[in-house]
Amino acid sequence: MQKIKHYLNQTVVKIFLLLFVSFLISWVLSGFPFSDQALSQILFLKPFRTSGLLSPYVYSILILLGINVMLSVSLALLNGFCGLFTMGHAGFMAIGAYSSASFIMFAIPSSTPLLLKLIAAVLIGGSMSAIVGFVIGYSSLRLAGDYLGMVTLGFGEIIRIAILNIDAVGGARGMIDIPQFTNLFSVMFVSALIVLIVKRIRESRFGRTMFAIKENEIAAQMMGINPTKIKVQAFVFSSFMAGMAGALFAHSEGYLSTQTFTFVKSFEIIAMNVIGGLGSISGAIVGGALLTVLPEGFRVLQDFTGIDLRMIIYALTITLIMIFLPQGLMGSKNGNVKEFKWLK
Amino acid sequence: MAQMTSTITTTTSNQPLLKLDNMSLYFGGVRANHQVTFSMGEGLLYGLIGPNGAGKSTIFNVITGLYTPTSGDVFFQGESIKGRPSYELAKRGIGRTFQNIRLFKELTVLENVMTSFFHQTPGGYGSALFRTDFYSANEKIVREKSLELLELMGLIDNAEEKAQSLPYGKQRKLEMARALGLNPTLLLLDEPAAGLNPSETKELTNLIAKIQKTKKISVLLIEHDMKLVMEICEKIFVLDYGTLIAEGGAAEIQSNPRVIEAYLGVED
Ligand SMILES: Nc1ncnc2c1ncn2[C@@H]1O[C@H](COP(=O)(O)OP(=O)(O)OP(=O)(O)O)[C@@H](O)[C@H]1O
Ligand SMILES: [Mg+2]
Repeated sequence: MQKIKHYLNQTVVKIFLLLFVSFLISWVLSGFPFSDQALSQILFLKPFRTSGLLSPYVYSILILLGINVMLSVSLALLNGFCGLFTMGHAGFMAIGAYSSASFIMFAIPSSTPLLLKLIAAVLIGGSMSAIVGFVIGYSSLRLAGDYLGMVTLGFGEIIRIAILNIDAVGGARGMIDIPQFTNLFSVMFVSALIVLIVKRIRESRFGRTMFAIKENEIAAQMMGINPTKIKVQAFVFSSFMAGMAGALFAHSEGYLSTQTFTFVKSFEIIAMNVIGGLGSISGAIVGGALLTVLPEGFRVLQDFTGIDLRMIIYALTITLIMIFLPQGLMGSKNGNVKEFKWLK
Repeated sequence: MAQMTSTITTTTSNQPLLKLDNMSLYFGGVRANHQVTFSMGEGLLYGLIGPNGAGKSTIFNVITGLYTPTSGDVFFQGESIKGRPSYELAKRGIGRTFQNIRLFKELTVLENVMTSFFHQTPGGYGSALFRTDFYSANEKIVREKSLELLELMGLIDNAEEKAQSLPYGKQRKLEMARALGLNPTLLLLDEPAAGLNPSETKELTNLIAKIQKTKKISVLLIEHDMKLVMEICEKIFVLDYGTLIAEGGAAEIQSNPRVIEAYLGVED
């Protein structure tokens, strides 16, 4: 009993540590503010983009980066661990975004403290997405390979078009005036939490089982493993985390349009995984960061040349990586995927 | 921890461990198995022989639930297992190896064996995510049991290697170790000595016999190496063109005219 508590505390301590580090980094990046007001802005999530070391532009890129890392790492659980090539991840993000935005705007009083709103948003976004993830997973996981890809691609678009036809969330006009309370602190913390969750799953017997299913489903069955059950569980976890990312996204932009969640976004998340290296958590992080920063970085070039070369260079970079590192930046042919030291 | 120690269900003595009852399996026009009837008792070593394409592997695939018989039935511990999913049968105690090796290539040798303990281990995602003491203790037990099996199969020095880096012979042994992790009551070995040289074959033969005796499990062994089969199997089933043409002890089989006919020209 003593020992169980001891271990539980360890994990809890870790989570508090993540909280503290996220806060510290946010604090430093905000230019070491000492006033009560500035500190509470970081902690209690007032929109905070004007002062500090970062320009509002860089600040918003960092937030986007964090959200993309969440999406990428959550997808890694499906395609990297279980070998499930799903193509509808943007759909889960959309459900998280729209459900949390609706909940915050229509279901709870606007005077609710921001911290509570944030927690509610993330949990509602994650849960709604997980419920849909369960249904989609359960109904499509009997399919394999390309068929699964096709079906999930379809589901992703169905979700998007369904949302497009709900007038209460703005329909084609988009959803506006969503309370903005996502800040660097919350994004950093949630992405770290997601990385921790996925890492723990990978290390556990569940992760081992997922890799076994990916490599040989028939042999896995002969080990007493029910592949469908494990895959559905992975689907639920993955969609929960993508939903959390969507929720944070909704409350950072303050505006939602279904155009954000087309299959193009799903492919982008897949590209993050592939470029980073399938099966590697570090790879998913690097891929997510790279595909956020690259297109933005080339914006500077556009000012210089006067024409929009962004997409060309972006595409070129990705092509070059795929030619010279076909297994991705952290991937490998024989399954010895690379991981950062702190993720080993 | 009660779940982790095998509970070998003792069947009543008059009830066979495995029984194929008029079992047929057709692939369209191909009669892979045709009205096969035989039964196996507990704690014995059986051989299953026959020329190439006789339907031996197909019988394994039927027993392990990969194929559902076209007609007839299969009983395990007295219960029909027709149409049951493979993972359920594995949980009930049917372990197997494959003719064309199916390892989890990118997992380590140790991890390969540990997968077979998955369903025998209590605790859900919560305990894994919080890495509770309960979880760690169970992982440790699984690890130790898996290492024991690697030791038994002579793979202990390869524990941390990727399965795919093992030489062929050791890959076959790893498949056996993995199947033994299930604590099976019935172990199906599909050509475990294929591709081994004579001395390796000899060693493996002894190992199979030893494991079968010490663990008191029933083994059904497919093998083309007649010497091996005759040496260690207490009873032999002979299959030809999907049909069971003979069963009995080594001497009986060797002098059976139908068996000699089936093997004419198929020198081994
Ligand atoms: N999935 C399948 N689809 C169609 N035909 C099959 C299939 N599996 C096996 N067969 C056919 O069934 C027959 C029996 O095959 P099986 O693999 O059981 O033979 P075997 O006795 O194991 O032969 P070997 O000694 O070569 O391993 C063969 O004619 C084979 O071609
Ligand atoms: Mg065969």
